[in-house]
Amino acid sequence: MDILNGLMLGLDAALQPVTLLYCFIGVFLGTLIGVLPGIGALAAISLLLPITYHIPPTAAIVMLAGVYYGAQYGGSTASILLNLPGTPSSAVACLDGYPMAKQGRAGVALFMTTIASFVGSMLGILILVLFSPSIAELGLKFGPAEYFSMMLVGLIAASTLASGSPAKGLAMVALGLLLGTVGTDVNSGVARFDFDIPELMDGINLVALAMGMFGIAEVVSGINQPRESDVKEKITLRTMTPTRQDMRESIMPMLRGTGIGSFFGALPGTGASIASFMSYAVEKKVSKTPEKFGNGAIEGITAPESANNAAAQTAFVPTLSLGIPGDAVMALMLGALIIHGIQPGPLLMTQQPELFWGLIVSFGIGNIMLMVLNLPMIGLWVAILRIPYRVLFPAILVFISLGVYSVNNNTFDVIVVAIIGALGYLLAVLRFEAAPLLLGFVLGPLMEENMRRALLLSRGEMSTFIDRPISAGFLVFGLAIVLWSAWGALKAMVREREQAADRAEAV
Amino acid sequence: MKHKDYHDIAGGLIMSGLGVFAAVYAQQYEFGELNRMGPGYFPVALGIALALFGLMIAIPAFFRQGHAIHVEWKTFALVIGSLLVFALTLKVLGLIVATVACCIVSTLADRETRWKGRLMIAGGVALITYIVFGLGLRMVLPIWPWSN
Repeated sequence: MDILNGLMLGLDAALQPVTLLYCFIGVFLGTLIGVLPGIGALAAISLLLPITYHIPPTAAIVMLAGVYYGAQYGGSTASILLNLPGTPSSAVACLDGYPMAKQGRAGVALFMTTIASFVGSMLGILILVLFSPSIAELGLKFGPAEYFSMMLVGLIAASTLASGSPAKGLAMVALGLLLGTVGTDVNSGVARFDFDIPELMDGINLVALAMGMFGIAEVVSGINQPRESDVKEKITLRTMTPTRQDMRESIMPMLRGTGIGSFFGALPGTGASIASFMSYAVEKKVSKTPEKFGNGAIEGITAPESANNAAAQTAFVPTLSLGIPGDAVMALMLGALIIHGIQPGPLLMTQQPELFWGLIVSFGIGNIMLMVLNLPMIGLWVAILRIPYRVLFPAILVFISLGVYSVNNNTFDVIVVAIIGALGYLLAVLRFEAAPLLLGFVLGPLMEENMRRALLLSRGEMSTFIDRPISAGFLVFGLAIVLWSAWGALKAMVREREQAADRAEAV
Repeated sequence: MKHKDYHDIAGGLIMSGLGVFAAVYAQQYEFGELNRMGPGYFPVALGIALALFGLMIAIPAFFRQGHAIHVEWKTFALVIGSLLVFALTLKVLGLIVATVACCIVSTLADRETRWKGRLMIAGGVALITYIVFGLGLRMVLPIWPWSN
């Protein structure tokens, strides 16, 4: 089926009233939780997951996806107005967004981030449409060796690129992989690391792990944190109008941001957060006036916002065309598909064309809805930001507990959240990042299975991973990432030494 | 400025400890060979890898300066405690009581919230929870202590 036919089919599916309704609910909730600091797309999708049992599969996936990319729009609002990122990927928007707000240009910043988000998303969708079919075709040629190597590269990328310290990232990945082995081994039927607790035979619940690592740890560190200020400014459509110069200065950054975002979004293991940081760094480097960055440079918000939205869309490329989730949110989406009896992978596009194309067309429709939600209705979101955190966090805790409980109707999972939350907070205090752990947890069982199958097929020859060209290509790419980050770490170490020496001389 | 980089020393040693534990604990599972891996192969290999990564984090940190570790113990204990209270009371005393108890314990962590505000928050959250999860989503759980 060619792309045009697919899009027509998708339009048909996406324009169903039920689908439209759930698309709207999804993007609305997405913006809401994006605006609210301390609760992210992951938490919201976990909460909604049990609800989707009762609605048609396409509508369910459309809604969950809407929450994900909707959150990318809302995230920058808190960054700009409160200097407090609403989502991790909008942390960069604080750097120049908050100075703009201080200069009385909060409205312009909000307007431009919405435009940048829209441009990034739409181009991201275009890339998704153009590349998914050929990647799925390539995916049909993948054997277990290729799958294993690809996931390995994803994990390497997640651990070394996304976090400050490659060694810490790798440790978190390994810990995540280990947590993934908890439960019954599919090949032998042996229960591993179950400590004689029957609930652990099925493994650790993904929602409980995600909530504990992200939700609880974030709540603990958010309580008693002084907020910079309240939102004082009145945001009206008039104060939102950008100047012609703002527009002109944003076009190229938006396109560059989209390019960077699309790449990191599609690469398993990296996602919206790293895309926005990378694109900020690139803009600062190519800018003729790098001193403006940090003091309210418009490129400093438009490029990263385009990047994280493009990444949110292209993240669906590996998920839908290969069945490999690129990050924790995608892992939940994958889980949602499987709950509805849909096996994501190279065959999805041919076997479930309405779902695949319907989802893609719904992205386009959802983004148009988001424009409307974020421009004329910005006042609503600003009002929500005025709710103090001390009122919000008890509600977040109860919602997390209920959401986790509802997956299996089991209070044991709530206790798991408490334990994982404790671990997650302590690791966060020691400056370990949670994202690589979660990705390791998700990919662990898939990796183990593919590795065992690949080695079974090759009769125990490890060389199977290098003999097959696609697999070898992945591994070379992974090695390049390792060398590059080792080089970076070495440079940083030398610089640190020099600075320490300088300090010693100065004293 | 005499502090070592305690964050990475502690973090690295914890990781190594977990790795060693996993590798030793997984000895009870059959290890197998490369062409026919047993259930113990992957966990043991991962445990060893984790232990090595932990050392890679901890050893350089001994030669580096850093800051003391700061943990908000009270907040931490109250938040985790509120989750445990919720888990233990939900099935026995129902949604409303569990929600109120969870809110009261967790708001004790906030320095600004007084008892009046605490009860108002608990009541408000219980009401929203009742409407959304009890009436709206019709979740399978007891609402009141006497609903069992």
